[in-house]
This record gives sequence, C-alpha cells and structure tokens, in this order.
Amino acid sequence: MNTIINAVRTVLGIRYYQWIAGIGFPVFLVLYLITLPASYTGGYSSFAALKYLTPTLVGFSVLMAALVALLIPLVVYLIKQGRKSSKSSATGGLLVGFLTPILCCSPILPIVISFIASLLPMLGGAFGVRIQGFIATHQIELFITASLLLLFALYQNAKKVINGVQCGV
Amino acid sequence: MKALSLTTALLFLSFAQSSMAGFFDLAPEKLPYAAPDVQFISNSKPHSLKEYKGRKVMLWLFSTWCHTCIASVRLMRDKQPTWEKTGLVIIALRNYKNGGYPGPDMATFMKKVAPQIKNKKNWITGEATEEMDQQFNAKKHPDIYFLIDENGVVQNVSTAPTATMKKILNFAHGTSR
Repeated sequence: MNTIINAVRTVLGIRYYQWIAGIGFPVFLVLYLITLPASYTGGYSSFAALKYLTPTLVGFSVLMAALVALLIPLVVYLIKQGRKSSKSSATGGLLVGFLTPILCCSPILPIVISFIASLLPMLGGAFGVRIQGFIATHQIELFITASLLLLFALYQNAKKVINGVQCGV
Repeated sequence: MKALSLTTALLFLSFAQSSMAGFFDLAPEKLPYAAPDVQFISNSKPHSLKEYKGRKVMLWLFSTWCHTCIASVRLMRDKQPTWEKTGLVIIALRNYKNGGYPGPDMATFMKKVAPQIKNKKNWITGEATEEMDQQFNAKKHPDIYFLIDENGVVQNVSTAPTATMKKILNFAHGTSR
C-alpha cells in the first residue's frame, strides 16, 4: 500500500500528470456508469442505462474509474521516463470490467457462437449460453476480479516508479 | 502508447454501443413472415399460438438468470395499463430448459419479479417447448421477443424491452411495425 501511495505522490506531484488523472477520472466514471448497468439493457450502453444503476454498480464504477485514473498517469510517467510499464493486468482489468455487462445478456455472444458453430459444429449454441449464464450469475465476482486486476496493475507500476526499473527494450 | 490506444478503443467501443439497439438482425427469417404454429406449456397444459390469432401478440422467450429479462419484465409490468388499453397479449415463456443454464422456474420467477400480473388476462406465462425453441430461438438468445400481428404474421423481432420499448409501444398502438 505504501508503494502505491509513494508512487502516486511522486507522479501526481507533477502538474501534467495531475491533469491526466483529473480528466481520466470523470471520463472513466461516466464510461463505467453507463456500461455497468448494460446487463439490464441487453448490452446496450447509453445514458438511458443510468436508470438501472444500483448502489453496488455506482460503487464499482467509482472504484474502477479511480483505479484507472491513477493507473494511466503512472503508465504514462514510466513510458516518458523510458521505462517498461506493466500493462497486461491493466488490460485484463479493463476488459473484464467492460465486457462483463456487455456480454451478459446481449445478442452478441449467441450470434458469435452460432457463427463459430457453423464452422465448428461441436460448438453448439449451448456453449454460449453457459458463458452468458455464468457471467450473469457471477457479475459481482467478475467486477471484484476486474478491480483486483486494476489494483494489481497499479501496484506493479507503482513498484517500477519507486524502484526505477530500467527499460529492458 | 499501447495503453492509450486500448483506452481509446474502449472509449469508442462503449460509445458505439449506444447506437447498437436494433443493430442485430435477430429474425430467423426475412420480415414479415408467418409465425410457425407451435405449442408451449402454460398452467401445465399445452397451448398453441393459433389460439391467439386475431389479437396482437408479443411472444417473449427468456431465461430466468438473465438480468435484462428481470428488468424488462418489471418494465412490462409497469406498462400494464397501456397493454390493457391496446389489447396486446404478452406470452412470456421461459426458454426451453431455461436456455441451458440453471435458474428459477417460471412460476417462482414471476412470483418474485411481477406478482401483480398473476391474474391479468393479457399475460400468459409458461415454458417454451423444444419445438418452439427450435422454431423461434435456435441461436439460444437469453432474451428475444416476436411481435405478431392479428393475422399471425411476425412483424418485428428484437431483444431487451428495456432498450427497445419504443418498438413494442409502436406495435401495440399500431403506428409502426
């Protein structure tokens, strides 16, 4: 925790990175606020989805937007310093957070799976249902996973900021 | 740089989604087409779609684990005065074997989500048969509805009433297919 706090203090001590975080937070907050309730609107994320927000979804939106808003300045800082940043867990966190509500109950997965099934018949429509059913019934667990991945990415990058790891490229 | 590109792509993807409603063509045949006369189970008895010829019908197939379906049933319940006024019959059926993923049976689901519609004559609830699943929902959508006119012709096929309510309202009011 101290590693993250120290790294964030170091990076956000510079005005340029304050701007990045300051713009990143509201942008990602709006994105999460309209995307997380998309599981109630068949995967369609729009401002109309806002009425399906629950306190839990608002909580996850704020948490994930805050983590991303802190993560981006750290990644940009490392790149500008010529150091290697950790992006895989950040990418995973972003993808899990955004794709969970979009894929939950939308027509995307059945259409994609039926297309694949036409090429590989062993993959019937039931395969897509199992994925969608799992996502729908484990939504909170998936949001927790996304948040933990973002937190892990924040820690990894914070460690690099503090330790000053040299770019391996 | 990659992180920024990914962020931009995600931003674009998210906003592009706002115009996705109605993007996917869910109809199994070219619209409009005659609805196949298949059976379903309601109150433990077999019923046929033919029984509702002469009335506007919304045939709705959904799985009880689906969040969109829960929110949509609540929304449709709240619009009951409109359906009574326009005479729309709502045949709400649980997908055959719940679409292939476990979840509450239809009676338990409706009791929890929309107990108010239990004795409403324009709501028929039950379970889809395998034949209905094959004819209407071969791609296994967790939530799909068919708007069938008085002549038994499917005029529109869509998903998620929470996002596409306008289509149902237009159909019920007879202003558009």
